[in-house]
This record gives sequence, structure tokens and C-alpha cells, in this order.
Amino acid sequence: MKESRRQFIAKSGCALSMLALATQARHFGLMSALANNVNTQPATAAYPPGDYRALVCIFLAGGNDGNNMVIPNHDNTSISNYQAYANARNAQGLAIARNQLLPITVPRISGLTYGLHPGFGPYTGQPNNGIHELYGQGKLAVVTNVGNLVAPMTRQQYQQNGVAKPYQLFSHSDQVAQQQAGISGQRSYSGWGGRISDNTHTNFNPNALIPTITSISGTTLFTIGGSTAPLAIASGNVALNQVLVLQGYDSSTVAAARREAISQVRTFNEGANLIQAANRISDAAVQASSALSTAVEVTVAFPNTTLGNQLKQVARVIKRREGLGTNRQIFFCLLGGFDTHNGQVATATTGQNGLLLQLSQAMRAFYDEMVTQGTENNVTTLTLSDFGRTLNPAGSGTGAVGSDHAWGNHALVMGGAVRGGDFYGMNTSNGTPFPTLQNSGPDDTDDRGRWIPTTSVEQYAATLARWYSLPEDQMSAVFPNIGNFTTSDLGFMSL
Amino acid sequence: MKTKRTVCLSTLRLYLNVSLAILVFCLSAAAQNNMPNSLGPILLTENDSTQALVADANKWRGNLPSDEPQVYKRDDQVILFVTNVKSMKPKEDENAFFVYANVNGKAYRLTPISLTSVPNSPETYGLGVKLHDERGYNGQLPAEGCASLQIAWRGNISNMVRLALGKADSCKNERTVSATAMLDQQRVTGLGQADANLLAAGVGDRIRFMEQATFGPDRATEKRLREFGIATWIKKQFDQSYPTFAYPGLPLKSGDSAIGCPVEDPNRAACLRDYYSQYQQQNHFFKEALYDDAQLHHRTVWALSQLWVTSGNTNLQGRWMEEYVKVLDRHAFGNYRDLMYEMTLNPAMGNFLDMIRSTRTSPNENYPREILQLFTVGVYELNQDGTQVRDANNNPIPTYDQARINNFTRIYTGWTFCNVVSAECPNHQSGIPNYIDSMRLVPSNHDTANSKALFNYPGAPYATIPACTNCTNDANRTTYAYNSLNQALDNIFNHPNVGPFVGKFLIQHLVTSDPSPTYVGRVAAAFNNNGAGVRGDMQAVIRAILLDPEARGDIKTDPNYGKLREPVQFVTNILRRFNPLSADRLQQSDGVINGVTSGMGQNVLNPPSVFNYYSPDYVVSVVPGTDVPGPEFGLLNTGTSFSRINFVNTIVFNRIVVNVGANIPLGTSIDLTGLQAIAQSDPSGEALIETLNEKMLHGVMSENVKNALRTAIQAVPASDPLLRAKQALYVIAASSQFQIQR
Repeated sequence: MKESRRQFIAKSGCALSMLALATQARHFGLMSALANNVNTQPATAAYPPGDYRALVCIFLAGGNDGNNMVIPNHDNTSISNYQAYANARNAQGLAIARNQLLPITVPRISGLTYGLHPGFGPYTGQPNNGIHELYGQGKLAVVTNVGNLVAPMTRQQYQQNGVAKPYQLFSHSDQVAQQQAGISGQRSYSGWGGRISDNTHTNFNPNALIPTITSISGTTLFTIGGSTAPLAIASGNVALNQVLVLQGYDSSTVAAARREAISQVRTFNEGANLIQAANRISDAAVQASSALSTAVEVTVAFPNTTLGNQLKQVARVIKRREGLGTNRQIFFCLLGGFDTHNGQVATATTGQNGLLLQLSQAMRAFYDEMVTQGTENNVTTLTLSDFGRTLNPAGSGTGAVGSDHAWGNHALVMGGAVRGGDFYGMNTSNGTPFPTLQNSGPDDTDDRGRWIPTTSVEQYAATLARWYSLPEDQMSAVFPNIGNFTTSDLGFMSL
Repeated sequence: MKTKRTVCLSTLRLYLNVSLAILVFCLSAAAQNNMPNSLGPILLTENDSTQALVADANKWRGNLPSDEPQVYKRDDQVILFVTNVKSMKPKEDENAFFVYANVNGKAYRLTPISLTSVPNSPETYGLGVKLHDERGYNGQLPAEGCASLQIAWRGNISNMVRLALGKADSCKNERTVSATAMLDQQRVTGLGQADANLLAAGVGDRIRFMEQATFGPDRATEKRLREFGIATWIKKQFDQSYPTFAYPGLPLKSGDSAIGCPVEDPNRAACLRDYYSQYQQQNHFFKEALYDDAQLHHRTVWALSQLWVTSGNTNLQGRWMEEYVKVLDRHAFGNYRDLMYEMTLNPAMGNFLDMIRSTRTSPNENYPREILQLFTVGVYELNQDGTQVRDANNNPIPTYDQARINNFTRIYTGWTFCNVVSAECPNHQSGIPNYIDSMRLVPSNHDTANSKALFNYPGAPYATIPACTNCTNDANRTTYAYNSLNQALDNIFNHPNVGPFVGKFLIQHLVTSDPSPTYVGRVAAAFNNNGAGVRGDMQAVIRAILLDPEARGDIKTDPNYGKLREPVQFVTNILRRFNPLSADRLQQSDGVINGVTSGMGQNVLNPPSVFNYYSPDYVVSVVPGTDVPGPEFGLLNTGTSFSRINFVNTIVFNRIVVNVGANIPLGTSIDLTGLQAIAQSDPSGEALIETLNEKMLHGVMSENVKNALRTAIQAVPASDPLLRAKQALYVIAASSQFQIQR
């Protein structure tokens, strides 16, 4: 926090943009030019209160099997239909029965019917109807076959090394890093959330009492920028006003002297970078702790699950946004367990089945809470994951079967500003954005159904960043390879 | 100026054999009091200047330069001149040095390229440096600017010198150039103080050693170290029996917890806790950490458990993990190759990474990929010093591709739980997955048909394993399968990456996050050959790590030296310093401590994934523009930084008492009567400060910290020495100065 205020003062030329950016900042290509001509604006002049935007990233750790999340549910033989899917997965017990699919219509693919995973509907004992309904209401979109790319490539180019590949394909740690960095050509030490924050915090959050980024799942690469470090707090089973509390301080002078001493010691680093790094983190915690001392509670019932509790905490922070002085926020949540080499479909509530049920219930509760708060059009939720998984199963038998590491995958985007109820992304070789479900087929790297992505994470992220208000002239700073792709706007956000 | 410098350098030559002090004095005058203490290397400067003495690497003829400095720019190769590197080993080369540059507030680590002894100048070396940052956390040097340079050697830092980039006058205002905290003059001053505060020689190093080799210094260990010395203590540790406390050894239960702990059981909660969680294993872990005499063994096992990761999040029953822990225990001081074999066939690992269900017809890539990526060779070709091999375009070279993974995958097919009535499965019980006996082969499930091309580095054993030619019966299939497995493990084990990969990992866990390549190289050499021609001898590796000059020494001043204490080390290091016992102080603690470390992100035996609690590659931002490696920082954030401070509050002002249902644990507390007596003996508070300085910070507490601490102590009436002791310990234990093991 201190950091950003100092920066703000140093760059007080940006004061205008705080005002100008009120609602249409993203259209101001000349924003920074204008800003440089104005030196002083009281920081209090900030923002019309209604202008708030937030991105909520849900990372599905382990590699979510998109092939079982979005499934063809039609019989059209010119592209992959349900039978193509079942042929690839049914024998080993990995295919989801057709009558279980939750049907959705896809205008982008001639109005054909596809199906969402059954966990996205209502389920006994769960608090809500799930996110399948939101697709029909136009609040949920699917971005298909998205993944880490340096530049577009075909199967032939892949096999002949004709185009630069993302480094260490199919390796968890490397692919996670690339999903979160938005850079696949080389290792990056910042994430795309962090870089968006670097380029927007001063302008949009001049009076913020906390950083732009709040993580409910630790300090991950996504949340780190050049100047950005996140606030990382505990999940929603801890009340928001309890997440950052130093214990043991009564009103005595002894306690006051103790607090003063640790504050002082925190300013010394003995010339050691690691001490200074630790100081920086605890300093940020101390500064955020007073900002978060007010109790706030959500209205909607959230599921008491890993992700449910994380999104509940996000919803509380959003509810407190005016008190925190934040006009733009980025959140990071994480749900693990998607590395389903086995047991993927053992029962309706375990393996990936259980995780997608948890995902749907938590996302829906969050959406409903945003509606209650009146912020459903201001908050956009998105998913990322390590990679997709092989169409070809690993192991066999309902209890044991799973899938291996692959590449291109489907992502979900949810919110009132999303042009939901459709599929988005670049077309594959079959003329639709949905890959051809065929081992050794045109979209496969080799012979197990590892889809070569047709849409890059950068295109996906840039579309979201533009909506978030990242200025156009900062786009290539945040997404250095975006120029390798034909568009930086996949069209799923209404601006 | 030219003349003066000549005078100074001739002085240097003149005093060939006189004390170092005079030499330092001479250089010190040249560097405007910019000298750190005499422990670190010294960079020569132009006389009466902080301007680096520098030569163009392409024109240098081997002597100290007398020409006026040229203008250097990004990517140039220059020679810096180093002295005060006494006891340099013959094999120590340029990679023993880190070269730090700071330009316009951004930090870079430049690339050392050569090291040459300078004739006629005693103990002086020309250090060739490319003005290029190999890692590039903060990009590359700007075209113009004044670079502030320092070098580090064996954990100690040099004076700071300047080098003009791009323009001759870039450092014109060098005396007013404000550097960042990483390199500023104040820090050097601070070091001088630290030097002056050095304790009696050896105490600081002994305490640092205990932090590296145990779960925290305690009086008994320190006594033994005084008695035997470090090398002998290590040797005795190799022979110490382990573990001290019996393994929990609970029987296996049904895979279904509703059967193992029936719903109608009134003690079901305790049953689930004991059998279907890691509770008993975690308690055992912490008891060993607090009380066992085989500290080095336990510390090594704990480090290895973060390399060969499995987790209770998949291996639900504590007993499933117990057998995995025993594999680590058996081989921590043994041979790495044996560890590889037993771990490959361990059922908990088999379940966690799916080898247990990988068959000829449905092969599973999980274990084959991770044993390479995480446990043995890593994803890129390494030099023996742990740096990446680069191709012509300066790109790292992957160690394997998908085709190689496919081949290894075929070799690991066919093994599964030892669940048959047979002599090879003595612990088989009907209906209960056998997590005790090693996995057993189902011969018909092993891939015998394919030829498998494995690693093909120079001298690789078993670069190709041919298809089986006689697998017409189970006996032959079994022979083929086990031969193939052992050949594949030999093929991996002998890969040149394994030494530097495993060596660097263990250095990072025990000593420092960013070891010099030369340090890694020395440890890798010990892995490659223990001196008796044996590869993979873990005792040789551990000895090399802990006895290395980069690990040893009373004081370390390299700004990047050390590591953040991971939560387990943070907690046990505080506890062991102050005689930990149960909450009522009547007996030993029962080790119910995992709840505390979990809150800081380290749930023992339950890491979130095979990628452990944090990545060995994690880089932490010190300030914007300065990023340094710090794996454990992956667990330190705003939330957990308070968890740590709040633990200090709990243990100092109270004690750990955890109520977990039926079985009220004994809790854990520390004994502050010793500190209390010291506080009582000296109402000024100074004795308390010095005691904590030695005990907690091995004698390098700065005056700044002492002042803050003194004020906090004096806020407590001298009539309450116990509260003074608590107040003081809280301030120091909560400080970043203590959080960093340095």
C-alpha cells in the first residue's frame, strides 16, 4: 500500500486519468498524454461510486479435463458428435452418459446442442441450481480450446517443430506458470493479473487501502507484477475482520511498546534482501489489517467447500469495496485436485465429478451474491487450469479410469457483462471453435487426443483485461506476444 | 590520480608478506571507507575513488591495468580485480562468485566468465564478467547509467564499486548516486557493526550449523559440538539410531472409513483422526524433531520428503504414509539409487502417482513423468554446477520429450498392490489395500512387446531396453520386468543431472536459497563419487553440503545468503531453543503441533500436490526491481506473516494447548526461566539483549534492532523480569531478522 501511494505521488500526473477513466477509460488511447498535462488533482476527487470492475480468477489446479466438462450432444456427422466422444471414452468407462448431459444451445455452431457436465445442475443437498442455468440466461460463456501458445500452430507445424512451442508442454509446474504468466515463450517472473495491476493501480485505485489484487490462495505467479504484490488472506471460514489480526495486544503500555518495537524492527533489514522481502510482506499485512477491521457478511448461502469459502471471502471484500477505496480489483482463488489420472468419474461426487459440482455450486452462489449486491455486471469470473487432459483415457474401469496431461482446454467466463450463452474462441480446422474429438485427428499433437489450442491464454486474458479497463496502449506491455495472434478480443465481453 | 593509484598498488606489492590488515588499509583508503569487514572479498578501485579498477576482457594482458578506464556497455566483457579471497581452492573458478549490479534502482546478477591469477600481485585475481544478467528477473542492464557493483564469495560480500555504462561520465556524480537498500553505503556500515559485535570465534558458526543440520539449536547439541567439532558430530550422526520414538504402527484399516470406523462407534471421531488422517504420523514427526538425538537424520528425511513428495491428501490413512516415511528413513544416509528403487515400488507413492494402476493396455504417465521431472533429473540439461546447459541460441535444452516419457511409462507397467495370498505379501489382508509391502508385479500387465529408448547421454547404461524375446511365461515376464525396471533406474540414476539436481535441492533446504554454482558443483562431485568410487552416497553428499566453506563461517554478509525458515523450522527452532515440554511442564510434548504449522501453510505429510508446499524456483520481490530466489517465500504472504507472529505470541505468552476432542493432548510450552534470570540479573536490559543476540541471531543483531529492543524491554518494570524476558523474546522471534536463517 505504502508503495502505491508513494508511486501515486511520484506520478501525480495521473490524477486526471483517475477522473477520466470513470467509465470509459479503455477508449482513451491518449489518456496518458492528457494526464501528463495535469499535475494536481485532489485524490479525494476520485470516482463515481458506481464505476467498479473486478476480475475473479478461479484456478483449477491439476489440469481440468475439459473433454468431460463440455461435450457434444448432437448427431451432426460433419463435426464431432456425441458418438465421437463416446467412442473415444466409453469403453474404459470415462464417458458421461448422454442422458446425464445438461443441454445447451450453441449459436456459434449452427445452434447445435452441446452438453455441460451434470454437476453444473441442481444436486441433492446443494444450496443452489448450479451454473447450467446461467448459460441459458446469457451470463455464462464457454471459451473453447484455449491454452498456452507462443503463436498459432497446426498439427503439422507441431510435429515438425515449425512454430515455437510453449516450453515444457504437459509439465504441471511449467504449464501452470504459463497460464498464470500469460507468456509461453520463456519463463516469466510476473503474472498477467499482476501486470494488469501494475498498469492500472495508480490510475484506478489512488485511494485504495489494500492492493489491487487479493488472493484467497497465497501468493501465486498470477498475482505478482513488477510493482504489484497481492494481499493474501485466509478463506471465508475466517471472518474478514479476523483475517489479519495481531494477537496479544491489550491496552497496556507494555503491549504498546511491544507493537512499537516490532514496527521499528520491521524497518531494518541489515543489508539482507531476504529480511527486506519478509519485512515488505509483513508491512503490507499491517497496513491492510486496519482496513479490514470492519465486519461484513454476505447474504447468500455459500456452500461450505474449499472454493465456496474462498469465493465467500471474495464476495465480502467486494461488499467492502467503498470502505477499502478500490475501484478495480482482481481476485485469485484456487481449487485443487484436478490431476485426475485415476478415479475421475468414480461417483457423482468424487473425482472430477465432485470438483465440477463444487465449482458450479460455488460459482453460482457467488453470482447470486453479486446480484444481491447489485454488482453482477461489474464482476467477471473466469477459470484457468494447467492444461486439458487426453481424450484417450488412462487406466480403465469406472472407479479407476482417468486421463493424462494434455494441452488445449475449455474455460468458463461468468458475469452480467459476459455475452453468455455461446462458445467463443478461434475456429479449429473443422470450422467451429470446438476441437475434433479424434485421436490422431487434425487437432491432436500425437495419438492420444491432446488438443493443440487454437486460442491463446493471452487472447483470453486480453479480452478480459480490456473490459477491466486496461488501456489499449498498455496491452502489449501486459501481453507481449499478443501481436502473434489475429485478435486480442474474442468478443465474449460486452464493454 | 594515475600516480596515486600506482603508489597504492605498489604498496600492495611491497607488503607481499605482511599482514592483511595493512593491505586492507591501503585499499580501504582508496575506497573511501567503503570497505566491509575483512571477511569478504575486496574489489580493487581506482585510487581515491569508488570507480572500479577494470580492464577490457578482450584486450587484457594479465596485469593490473594502468590505462584510464574505457567506456563499457551492456553485454561487454570486462575484468574486475579481486583480492582478500584467502584459501581459494584450486578448483574454485569464476562460478564461485556472484556479481551483483544495481543500476537506476534495478538489481541484476551479472555473468562471471573467467578467473585468472594476476602475476606479481599477491592473492589478486582478474574476474572476467559479462555485463549481462543470465536470469534476467529484472531484464537487462540499461544502455547508460552508473552501475554499482559488488561481488559475493562463500556467502560474504565485497565493497561496492562503480562502473560507468554507456557514457564515460555516467558515474560523474557517483558520490551522490543513491543506490537501493541492497547496495547502499549504510549497509556496509551496518556490516562493520556486525563485525565489531562478533562473538567469540566459533559460536556464531556453531549456532548457524545447528540451524542447518537440526531442527534448531539446543544446549545438548551445542555441548556435543564443542566437544567433538562439526565433522565428528556429523560422523556420529550417521551412526545414530533412528527413529528415537517408535513409529505409530497402527494397523491398516479398510479403504472405506465407514467400515474402518463404524458410524455407531462412540469414539468414531478419534478413530477417524488416528487411522484416516496423518495425526499420529505428524505427532511422531514433531516429537522426533523436538527430542530425538538423530537430528541430522530427521532433518534429511524431512528435506527428502519434500523432494520425493507424496501426500496424505490422497494417501488418507496415516499407516499408508508411514511405510513411505520408512523408505526415506532407510535411505536418507544410504545410497540414492536404493532410495529410487524402494520409492518406485512403495504403495503410497504408487497410489499417489498412479503407478499402482498402470498396465500394458492402459499405461499411466504420472509417475514416469514426475520421477524424472521432480525426483531425479529435472526438465533441463544441467552443467555439473547446476546451471542450465544452453544451446547456440542461449536456450535451455529439455532433458526429455513426450516420446521418452512414453517409453519410460511402458517400463513401469504391471505393478500393483501386494494383495494376494503369497509369501511376497506377508501383510496382505483380504479386502484391505496393502500399503505395507512393496508393490507386486502382475506379469501379464507388464509391457514386454515394445523396445524402449531411454536417456542416451554419453556412457548411458541401458540407453535402449529391447522388447522381450522369451516372455512366453510369467517367470520370464517377471525376470524381464524387474530387469527392465532396474535398468531404467540405472539409466536415470547415472544421468549427469542427478548430482547437481539433488545436491542443489538439499543445499536449498539446509543452507541457502541461492547457492553459488561452485558450491553446487562441489556437492554434485560428492554425489558423483564419494571418494571411493561410489555414486549416490548420501553421507558424502550431506557432508559436502554442511562442511562447505559457503555453509561455514561465523558471519555471512552476502545480501542474498540464507533462506526463509519454512514453517516447521520456524516453529521447532523457537521451541528447541527453550527446553520444550508439555503445557504443564511435567513431561515431554506429545508433538501435537501440526495445527500451528498448517496455519502457516505447511501441513506435515499433507503437501497440496507432488509439487510440494513451495517451488524450488520461487523468486521473491524484495522491492520492485529487486527479485531474488527464495523458495520458502512461496508460503509467506500477508496472512501467513501474521500467523507466524501470532504463533510467537502464543508460545511466548502462553502455550500450545489444542483440544481435539476425546483425547486432550498434552500441549507444548517453553521454559523462559533462564531468560528471566538474565533479565533479573541486569536491570539495564543489556544482558537480555546480548543473550538473545547470541541465542537467536548468532551475534549479528544490529544496533538499530538493539535500540528498538531496549526500548521495549525498558517499558516493562525491572521488577517483572519474566515479563521483560517475554517482551524481548517476542520482539526478536517475530522479527524478519530471525525468520531468515542466515
